[in-house]
Amino acid sequence: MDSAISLNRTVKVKRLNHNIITRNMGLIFSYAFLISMVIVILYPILITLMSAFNVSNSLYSTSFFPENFSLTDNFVQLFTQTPYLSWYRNTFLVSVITMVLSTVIVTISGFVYSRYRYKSRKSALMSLLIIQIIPSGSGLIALYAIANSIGIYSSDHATLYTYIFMILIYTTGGTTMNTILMKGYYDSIPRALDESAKIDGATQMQIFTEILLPLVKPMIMVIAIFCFLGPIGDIIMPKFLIASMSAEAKTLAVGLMGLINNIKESSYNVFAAGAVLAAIPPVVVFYKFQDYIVGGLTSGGVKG
Amino acid sequence: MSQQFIFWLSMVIPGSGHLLLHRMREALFGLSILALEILVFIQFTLPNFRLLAVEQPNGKITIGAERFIDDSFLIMVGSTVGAMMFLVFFALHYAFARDAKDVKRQIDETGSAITFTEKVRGLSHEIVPNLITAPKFILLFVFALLPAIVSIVVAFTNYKRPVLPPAFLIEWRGFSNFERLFTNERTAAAFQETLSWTLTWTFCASALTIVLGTILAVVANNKGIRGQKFFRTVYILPWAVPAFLTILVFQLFFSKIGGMNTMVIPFFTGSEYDVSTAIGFFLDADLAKVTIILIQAWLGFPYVFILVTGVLQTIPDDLYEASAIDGGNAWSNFFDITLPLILISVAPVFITQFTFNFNNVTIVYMLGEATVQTVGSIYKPLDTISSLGFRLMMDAKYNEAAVYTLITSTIVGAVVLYSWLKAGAFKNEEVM
Repeated sequence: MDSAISLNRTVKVKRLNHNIITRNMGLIFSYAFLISMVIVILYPILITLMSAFNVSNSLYSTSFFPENFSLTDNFVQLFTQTPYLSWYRNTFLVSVITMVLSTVIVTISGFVYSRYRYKSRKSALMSLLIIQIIPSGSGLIALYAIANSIGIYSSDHATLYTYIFMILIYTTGGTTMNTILMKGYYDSIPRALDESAKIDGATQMQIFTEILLPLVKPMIMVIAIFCFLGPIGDIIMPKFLIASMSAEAKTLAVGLMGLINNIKESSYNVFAAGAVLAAIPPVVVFYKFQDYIVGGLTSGGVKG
Repeated sequence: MSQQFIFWLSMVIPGSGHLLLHRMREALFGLSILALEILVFIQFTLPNFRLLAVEQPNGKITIGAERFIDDSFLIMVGSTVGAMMFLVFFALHYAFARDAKDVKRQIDETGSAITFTEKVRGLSHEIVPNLITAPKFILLFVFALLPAIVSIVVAFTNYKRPVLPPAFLIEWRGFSNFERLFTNERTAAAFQETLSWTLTWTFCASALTIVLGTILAVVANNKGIRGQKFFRTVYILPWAVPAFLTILVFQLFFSKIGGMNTMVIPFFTGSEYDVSTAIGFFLDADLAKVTIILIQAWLGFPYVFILVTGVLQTIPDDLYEASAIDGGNAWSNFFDITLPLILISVAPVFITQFTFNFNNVTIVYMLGEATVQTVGSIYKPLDTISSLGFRLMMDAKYNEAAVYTLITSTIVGAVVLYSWLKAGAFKNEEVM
């Protein structure tokens, strides 16, 4: 028996030695692949970053580093020649309000679905799942026409009302699937916790605010981040709903798209400056909350 | 007086069954619901329904009778709401009928039934959670369900510029908007071409995204690789930067004066940049199609990468140790352990990749703007069915847009529903 095991060991050691060589070859290939992908990702981003600091009169630049470096020129042009600040403000107000509204709704209704047992609960969840199937763009024609028919576009505060309308649409879109994910997260917290609190005399409200809320904080963060990022990146809705409005009324996405498609009037470098500024908040949010996003996505997505 | 009789009587007149059983308070409640129903019907539903199809002297069937007085669109919305109210009232009738039958059964069996007060006390558990979640359902009804239904209705009308209410009355067109896609030679050919490109696009973009994300995740999470945190941070970047920005950056990057022509190609070929020989990636239809698929893979892979990374971390090391004892090598480890485990947990998410790309208007619409339309073609070469719907919408051809949106929504809905039914999402206690 002993000899059989030792024989087995030597075979294993030999195989390990062999593996070290092949593994090193594998490692070299792995690094080469990973690093080339890093270049593919960073190159376009860095080029844009560089162009933001390049003051060039020609339409194109053939070198990576700015030929005429200026820290501020393109940005000054951006703020003086386009209503960039107004676009920025519009976009972030919409995003922040949407984020707050959706997160509140999702957090509360997730709690109800997880902790209350009532007859219509199952049909409520089922209808959420089914409404979720409707693609978000499918109602756009009707939404526009309804807004038109109830006089949103012809009122004195057309821009404001349109933005409120948009916020409500975004909020609705942010609540369906997220509610189900949130409920799943609540479910992972044992109900025994609530029961013992109830024995100690806690009300349903106290159980929610003092016991469960701190525990579901990571998931609240994930949902808040996604609800915040959604409206920033959307071009479909604003393009359609605010297309005919003044330049100041636009969002970042629509405004910057206008800069590109009017290449004769505006330079690439000014666009690049605008793009860099627009990308900073989402990138910072992503970077800071990376672990939450990864965790939330895997816990939510895999359960699916 | 049988239970069946009580049931069907209450189905027609809510509360009547309770009346016969001498349950006055329920009966009163049911009858007041009937009164409310009649009031809503006379005040709201009927006026809308009456204007839903009016025959004009010239034989056309219009929504609304007179221009500037009736807003066709509001009548359409009102009728949809009215039709949905029928469903609500039907549900109420049914609830009363069920309850009346229940009371009758209890009386038949035991001689008495639970009292009204007890019933109300039992219902209070129902009311609180429904009240808390009500705002969400109101939002969903007004901003998701209702618009989606009304948009479907638009596909059967002539609602497009210049037929804009209230200055014009919208006409019913039946299936003619759909027929055009198949009978009109030019439109039919364009539709088929668009459909086949949509399917190619959906498949290639999704497959490339999934393959790239998975391979990168597996390679980067290999035990021997250092700087995993660095790679993860870089690979998440395409996701962190808003897609519309990257799409615009790439639109310039692949243009004749962009970085691809001025820097990357000269770097590899060693020749100087020359604007006359530069490649216009969006000027040639086939080249544009390849380019957009590559850009979408660049944009989409971080999602799959993160997902697979998460799955890889849940695979226990014991499996690989056991495999090492059995003489498994890196390849067999990957194909026999890692890959099956990844596929099991991520398969449902891959469905969302397909539906996402099928539905993806943003990139197709934005890059489509940069492409050149071939002479004689109706649509831009990059247009998919969903982006076509959006482009027609922007051109105020609402009825045609609705046809395309309806097609897209039906396909997406069917795929999602099928995958859910197959995965048993509706039976799953985790979800419910």
